[in-house]
Amino acid sequence: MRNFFKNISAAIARIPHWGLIFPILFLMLFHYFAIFDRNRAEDDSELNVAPSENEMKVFQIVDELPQNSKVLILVNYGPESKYELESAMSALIRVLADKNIGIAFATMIPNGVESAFTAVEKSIENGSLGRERFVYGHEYTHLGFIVGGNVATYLIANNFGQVKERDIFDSSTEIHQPLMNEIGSISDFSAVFEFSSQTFDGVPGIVSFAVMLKDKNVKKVAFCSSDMLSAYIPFRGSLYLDGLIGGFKSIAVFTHEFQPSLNIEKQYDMLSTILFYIIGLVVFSNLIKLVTKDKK
Amino acid sequence: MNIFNDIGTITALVLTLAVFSGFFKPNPLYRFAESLFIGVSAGYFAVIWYFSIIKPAYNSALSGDLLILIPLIAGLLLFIPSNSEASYSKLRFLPAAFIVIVTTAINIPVYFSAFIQEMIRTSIIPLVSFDESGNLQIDMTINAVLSIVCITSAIMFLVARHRNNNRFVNTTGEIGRFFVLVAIGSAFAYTLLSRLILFMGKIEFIMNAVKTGF
Repeated sequence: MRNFFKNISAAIARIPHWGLIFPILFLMLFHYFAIFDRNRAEDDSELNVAPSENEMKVFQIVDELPQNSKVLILVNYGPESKYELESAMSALIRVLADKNIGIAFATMIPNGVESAFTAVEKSIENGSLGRERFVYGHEYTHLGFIVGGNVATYLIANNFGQVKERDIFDSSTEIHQPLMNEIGSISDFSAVFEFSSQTFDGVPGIVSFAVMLKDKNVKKVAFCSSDMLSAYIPFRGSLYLDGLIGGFKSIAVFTHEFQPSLNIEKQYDMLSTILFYIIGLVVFSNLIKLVTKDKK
Repeated sequence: MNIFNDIGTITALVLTLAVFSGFFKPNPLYRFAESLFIGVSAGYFAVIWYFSIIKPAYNSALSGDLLILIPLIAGLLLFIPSNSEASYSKLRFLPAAFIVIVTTAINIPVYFSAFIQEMIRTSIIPLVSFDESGNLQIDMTINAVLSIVCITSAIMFLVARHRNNNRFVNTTGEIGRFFVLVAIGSAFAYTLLSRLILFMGKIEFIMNAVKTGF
């Protein structure tokens, strides 16, 4: 019996490392053709995950945002986390647009400059905004890349009047953007959202911002990618973070709640299957090691 | 049909496949995509920095705000070679010291508030949780107690490296070592998850491009 397992072990050892990618690829394509199209045809796709207490808290914050108010969205992610965070941002833009809430985008990383525009485009392309136009300067604006990491968060928190003087196209916000005319300081925003795939000197951007912010009434919500979850989770439930949507599971729940037309549940299904494959692979290889007493 | 969109999609598709070809072994196509990525990134960053810092500063100077010359001169001082024998070469320490002082002054309160004060508070309070009707929330209470055990034992693990003759410290440190390994493992797993989502997104992009005929 042990020889049998040793033979299996030897056969597996002959497979090159990159060969392990093929089952993952197969699972992805299988899901793409089988499950995705079925979901689209039935149009009643469900995400079989119930929202947690923390996710419900974010839902509540978003639901309670007053009509016609303004929010600031810090876009601190680039293409490396696009597939994870963009759908949630697109869903948030849709909710805000429904409530006629003005959006000011800003980024503290160079990679984040394009991310806001692509998320807005995705919302418009998806047809979920419920309107034909989403006018720059009136309904949303982009203040561009604010340089300096934690220094930038200090500027945003305490000297927003200077930050908002010119937008990303170097136009004066006072002259060309009615949206920004009512904004004098950060307290004029009803909430600040951060979409993040990185920290600044080890500190999450929204936490650094919250520490420096004098007005504690502004709601602070973070959306972070899976690889940043270990940096953000310690602040969940703290004074610095009113809500956290962290990792793909929470992002899928949020997106499914606010923009079901993005079909995020299919990606969630696919990812679950692949993770089962990886866990299976790890358990199987360790079982073989245990049986064959191979310590390598 | 938009010809520019189509060219963009085809280029993205070819470059994605070129990068994926590096899974097997480095090849000319992969090296080309890699070099192109580095070049385009450098160009992109140069443009972003120019429009975010240099151009606004230049415009400010033109409009009479000469204060902008101070950071400009300070920036230029940083370029003085470190091996220069000239007496003025030590001037380069001035802007460097300023950067260190400002960064420290901003980071220390943030680190103290966020990582010491608030993190300890959220880990411990409330130690015993009750719901709205006054019933004990067992899961939340266990979570809080476990947090204290994790934090204390992880600190003990670091202490045990220097005071390894104390049995209590050693035993607690071993428990802490386990929790530290769990933390490192979960951070690694989350990173893997993030990269898998990126890979999945790219595969979906390729499939959509093929399916819709670019």
